[in-house]
Amino acid sequence: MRFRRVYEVAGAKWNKNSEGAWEHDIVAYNLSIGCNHCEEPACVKACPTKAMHTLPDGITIIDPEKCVGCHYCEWACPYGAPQYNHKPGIMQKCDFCRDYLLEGKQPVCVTACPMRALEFGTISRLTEKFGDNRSVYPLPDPLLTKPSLFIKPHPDAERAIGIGATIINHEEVKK
Amino acid sequence: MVFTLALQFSVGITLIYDLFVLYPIYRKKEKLPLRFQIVLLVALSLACIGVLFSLLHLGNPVNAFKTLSNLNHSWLSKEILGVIIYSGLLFVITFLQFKFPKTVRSYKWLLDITSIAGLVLIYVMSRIYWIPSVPAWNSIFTPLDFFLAILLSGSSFLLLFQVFGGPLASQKGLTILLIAIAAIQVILLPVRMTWLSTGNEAERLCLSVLLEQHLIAFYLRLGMEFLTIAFGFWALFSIRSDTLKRRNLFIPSLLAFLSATSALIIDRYLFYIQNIPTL
Repeated sequence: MRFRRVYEVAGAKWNKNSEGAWEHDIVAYNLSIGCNHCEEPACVKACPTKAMHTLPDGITIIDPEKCVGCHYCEWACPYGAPQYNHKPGIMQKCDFCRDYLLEGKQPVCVTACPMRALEFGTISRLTEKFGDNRSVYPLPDPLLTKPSLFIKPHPDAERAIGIGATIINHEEVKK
Repeated sequence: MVFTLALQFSVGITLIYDLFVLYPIYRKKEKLPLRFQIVLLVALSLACIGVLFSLLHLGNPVNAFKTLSNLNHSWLSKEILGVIIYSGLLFVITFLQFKFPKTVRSYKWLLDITSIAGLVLIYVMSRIYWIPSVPAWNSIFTPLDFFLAILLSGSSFLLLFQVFGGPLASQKGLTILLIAIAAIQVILLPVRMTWLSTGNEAERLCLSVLLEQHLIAFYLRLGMEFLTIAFGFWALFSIRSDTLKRRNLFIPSLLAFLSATSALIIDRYLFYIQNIPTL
């Protein structure tokens, strides 16, 4: 199970400068994505058994007793968060390390990140610190699900579409 | 895939039987031949096969009854309710046809309701795939594809069934419908591919997956559509008024049914491999 996936976005092209010389233009950055515990989660709407539900604190979790493993949440989530676990035959996903949160600790991905690139907190605190930017290329339109995700974009990200950057590690993140 | 195909076939057979076979008989106040009982039995059997496969597909089939819990929001819940209603109505009318064959004319209204329930089910089924997270599915082509599939499956099956003893008008009507639907599918194919080529990264990736990894299946599907049209025309020209020559209709009708069924199976396979999410 890969509850958090790190996408490598990269692309490059050649530009001719004013003196007629060719210069390369390269874009490369990482995008770490797990479940965004959206304000309007598509997975919760899609789930036929209501196994996928949002708790009062905003965390979306799966009730393993109700889940039938139909995969529909996996299809519906534009971030690919829910994943099928063959062994119990049900869907599973990031729950923000809820047991750790109840003990007053941070989610494991946040404490493990050596670059301190991930941060966890309340929406108001994170908005104040990082602004309200909830998307960066190639993430889907945030209006679809209103993800509880605040991104300080990499400086290269603005040029990514123009340069034709793509995800270059599909095989790694999918399986 | 088996569930979707089986239910589409079932609804197609019920709808076309209602519109192209039963309605003319009903209007002319003719007696309904007993052999027509088999048509609804086939439709019911297909629905049962579909339901059985859907249960096996669930990771935990014991909890299948819980899938009706989110009828307000989940299209999957609505689909399951739709299957229950459609299959239930189909079971009732099939049972009545066998139990009280002489009074079958009085059940026409029930078959109309079953057909409408089937059409609603197909719409709900298409809405399951009409989702923004899978851009290649997220278009009007998805419901269009599903509705064309039921018309193609129903008309090809009923044409084969009508070879011996069916009225000429019904045979001609079914053949023309079969040719028209196959032709529309052939025309829609390049339109949809053009739409994919102008879409976002996931849509373009979907097109390249189709053309690079499943090119044989793609051409097979296209070939089967052309064959359906060709066999349809053969059938159309084989329809004659005298009984002896009606036998000539059997071969083209059988071939048209087989090619249409193959086209639908390949089409559904190609549909599911287009499940390429945004991320």
